[in-house]
Amino acid sequence: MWNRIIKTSLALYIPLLIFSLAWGYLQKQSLITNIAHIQQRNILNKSYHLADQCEVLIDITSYWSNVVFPTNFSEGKPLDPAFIDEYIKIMQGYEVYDQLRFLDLHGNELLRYERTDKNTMEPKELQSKAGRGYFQKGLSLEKGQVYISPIELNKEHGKIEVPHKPVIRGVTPIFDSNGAQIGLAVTNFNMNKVFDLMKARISGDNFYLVDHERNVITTNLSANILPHQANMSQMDSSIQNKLKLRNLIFEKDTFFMEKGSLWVYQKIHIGFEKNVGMNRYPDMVKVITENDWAIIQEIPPSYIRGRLQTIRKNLILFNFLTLIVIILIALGYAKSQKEKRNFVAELKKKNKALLNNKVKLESTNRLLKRSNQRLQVRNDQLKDFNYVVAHNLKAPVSSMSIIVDMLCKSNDPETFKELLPKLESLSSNISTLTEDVETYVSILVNQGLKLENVNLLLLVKEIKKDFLDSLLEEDSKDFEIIYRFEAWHTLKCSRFYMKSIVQNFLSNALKYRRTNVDSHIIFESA
Amino acid sequence: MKKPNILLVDDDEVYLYVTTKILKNLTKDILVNTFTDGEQAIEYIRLCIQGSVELPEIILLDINMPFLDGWGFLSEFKKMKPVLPNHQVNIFMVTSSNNPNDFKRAQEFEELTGYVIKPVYEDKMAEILTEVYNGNW
Repeated sequence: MWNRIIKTSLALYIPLLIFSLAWGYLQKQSLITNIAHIQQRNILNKSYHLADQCEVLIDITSYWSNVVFPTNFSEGKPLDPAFIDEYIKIMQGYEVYDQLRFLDLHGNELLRYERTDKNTMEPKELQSKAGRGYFQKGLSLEKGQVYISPIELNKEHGKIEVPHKPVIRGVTPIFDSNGAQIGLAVTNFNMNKVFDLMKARISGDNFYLVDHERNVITTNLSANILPHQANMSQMDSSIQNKLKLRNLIFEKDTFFMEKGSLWVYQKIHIGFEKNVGMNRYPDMVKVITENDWAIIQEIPPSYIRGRLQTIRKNLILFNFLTLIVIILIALGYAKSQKEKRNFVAELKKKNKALLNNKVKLESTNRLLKRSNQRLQVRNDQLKDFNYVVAHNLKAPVSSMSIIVDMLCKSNDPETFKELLPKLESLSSNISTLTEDVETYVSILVNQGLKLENVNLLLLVKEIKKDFLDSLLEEDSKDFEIIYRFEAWHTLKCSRFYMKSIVQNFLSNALKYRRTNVDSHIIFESA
Repeated sequence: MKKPNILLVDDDEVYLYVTTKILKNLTKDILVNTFTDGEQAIEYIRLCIQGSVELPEIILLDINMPFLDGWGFLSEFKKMKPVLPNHQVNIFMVTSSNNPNDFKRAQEFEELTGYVIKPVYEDKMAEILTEVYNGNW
């Protein structure tokens, strides 16, 4: 029974288990897709922070492209102090704004303002930036164009400033009143503030801002910014290795599961929004840049496990309850099957007994039928016997009775003489009848029954000889026996019975023949 | 007065002899004819119809006989009844059989006057004659 319960339970539970697992998988996929979509919106928001800063940088930098500088600005003549002071005063309040510099066409700084604390910008010692990449790129700019540098650690006098300061530079050519390019205007933005905003977590997610070589610019897992430009700590190397993702061969916006984490990758578009139809920054100047940043959001396994916990619990609960219900059903089914089997077995047993009874009944019936047939035959025989007794015996007896009655009443010797022979005849008849009855009874009880092949022709001739010669010799002249045994003449029967039958035929034929005509009896086989 | 005319039909010759003797003992002035089977009796009735011989008033008929038994005789007699002269024939079934079936069957024949079980003694025979001839025999 337990075997059946287990089998039934498994048969019912396995499909449900498969279904529940598929349902769980779909739920998981749906949840992951949902998280990924949230992270995509999160990345988009962070992108806007960066893009907005870049746009401000472009705007602020491009301003200088339209300013008419004195023709001898590059030769030491300063700008109007009132103008520049007013400008710096405004920019001091903008915390991201870190440096403003003007460089001549040889890379020498003509003017340098640098933020010294949160609300102060002061002129600083001029440096030569002839060897710096942004200067080289700036020289190739045309009027109105702005070059946006990569995000780098700030360098002063050729060395990385400590503590590290991530900066992005906007560069634009500047021109004098004659329209001749006299140098470059360079604006530095400090990116710490922007990065702090971008590092904010919404769901325990890890944030990575990477460049086109997938170098980490900043992440919320490490305090180091742009570690590849300074010293890589063990943590930084580990982070760098972690970002070598198999599913990120092609740099396109996507999300996937790898290393147990959900990874959402999305590129940042700066200055190219028009090209992708966003039109976020109308009337933008021509921007030259090599920046190709992307944001990677990693949802760690612990968070996903936490979110999947509900699904898992539901799945376990569903399976547990289902299993209990199935076991109960299987138990009921097994019981009903057992009852059914018992019922069927009982039925079979009864059926077998009925069949046996049927066979017995049939046998009994056959016996009864045979017995009935025998009884019928016997009954017919008894009827015949009754007839013999009623007619053949009663008739002479009644005649005798009358004769005796007559004799008793008569004193006439003539009557005696007349009636006595009749009595004698009746006595003889009764004697013959008694012998016949005896023969008949012996036939009824089948005594001395012996079957043998009897030649009828010979038998009839034999009887004729005994019969006619002894009893009817005189009368046999006008009585003929005709034999027609061409069809067959031998019969398997009791010679005694057959002899009796033929004697009876002959006896009746002779007895009831008409004496006034020639008579014959025909024995014919067919 | 007309002589009683009686016909005995029975295959038992002793019975015929004895019954004839009884009838003759009862009255000398009686006509008795006997036949040992029904067929001969029917032939005799035909002769009566033709007028060759006189039709009997009483027929004492046995049931079991060769050739044509008592029942067969009754069936044939029934057929001939429409051409019989306007003369009452009283048929008594006289048999040694006390089989109820025979008695029941006999009741179906309206031609039968009575059913008598053998032996028929002289007094019984006198009773029959008295019944038929109203004592005038």
